[in-house]
Amino acid sequence: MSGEVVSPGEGEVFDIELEEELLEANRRLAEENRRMLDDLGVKAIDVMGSIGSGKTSLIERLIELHDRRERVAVLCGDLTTTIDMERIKRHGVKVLQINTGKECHLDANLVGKALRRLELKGVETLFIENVGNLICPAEFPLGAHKRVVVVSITEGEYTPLKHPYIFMDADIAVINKIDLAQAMGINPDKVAENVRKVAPDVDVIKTSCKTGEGVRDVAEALGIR
Amino acid sequence: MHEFSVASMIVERVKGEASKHGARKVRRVEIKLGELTLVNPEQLKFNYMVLSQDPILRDSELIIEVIPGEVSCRECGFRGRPTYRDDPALHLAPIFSCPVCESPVEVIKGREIVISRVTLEF
Repeated sequence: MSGEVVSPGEGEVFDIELEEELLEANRRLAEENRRMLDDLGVKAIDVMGSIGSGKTSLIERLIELHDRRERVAVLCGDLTTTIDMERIKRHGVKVLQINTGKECHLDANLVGKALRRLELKGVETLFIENVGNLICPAEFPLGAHKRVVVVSITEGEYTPLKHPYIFMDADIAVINKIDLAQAMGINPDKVAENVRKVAPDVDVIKTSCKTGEGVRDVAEALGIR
Repeated sequence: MHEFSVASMIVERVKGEASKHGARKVRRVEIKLGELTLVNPEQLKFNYMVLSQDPILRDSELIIEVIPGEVSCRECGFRGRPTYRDDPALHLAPIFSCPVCESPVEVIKGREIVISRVTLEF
């Protein structure tokens, strides 16, 4: 009987043990992205935050501070529009839009594909603008060197307590729109205190992307020129 | 929040496994879902149902075992379940500081999404 293959008969039932981590595939691709970026000497910054918190504005202000714009590139993540890419384009840097369609976050696979499309030779700093969302991006690392979460004064003071994961996974929390603090009746220090409650190790920086206040501190914390 | 993409990953993975073994149907899929993931079990089940209309997957059951979260303190060495806020408005948001010494904690368990077992019918 040697050499015979025994296969299950009709109607038989078998359990297959898999024990596979679903998010592992994303983590592996994120590590691949990181290796690719390191080989090219590119420092990547994942910018996360709610819709309207000021992610695009922060990237625009940081580009303006950069002394060599030809060394900056931006990936803009959004569900369906190219609004952010059009804004970034005006600054004369390389930019690529990633439209996720239905997905609420960027994942390492989409970013990896975009990295292969973007001409990254000579680029020093790559901003990856995540989809406006405080939940999903926390679970999908992209391979970036630094993760920034932008929270704005107009969101009120509870955002960090409601969404602790995104702050825990970030290196820097930017509290934006501080120029509106008085009008909104929100104390930026209270927001900072709430960030520290959920993520004591995160650097907290207060900014106004409208007036430019604090933006230089963000550039310094990110180690970009 | 990303239950749809997680359900799609499960469906694709399970379909692949069924065809690899030449199974006629998938009867049951067992998942371990960490308490500290951002995936809601009920919504995951609903999305799985929506996405499993393929004849090979139709009538299959998704069984979700929730894995309790565990944190460990960098300062005092505490290891155990994370604590939740007293505030009813924020009762589902865990506190990531040590219940003993209030230092920052690391999550060591509860952020996993594992496909543990698939039951195939031939």
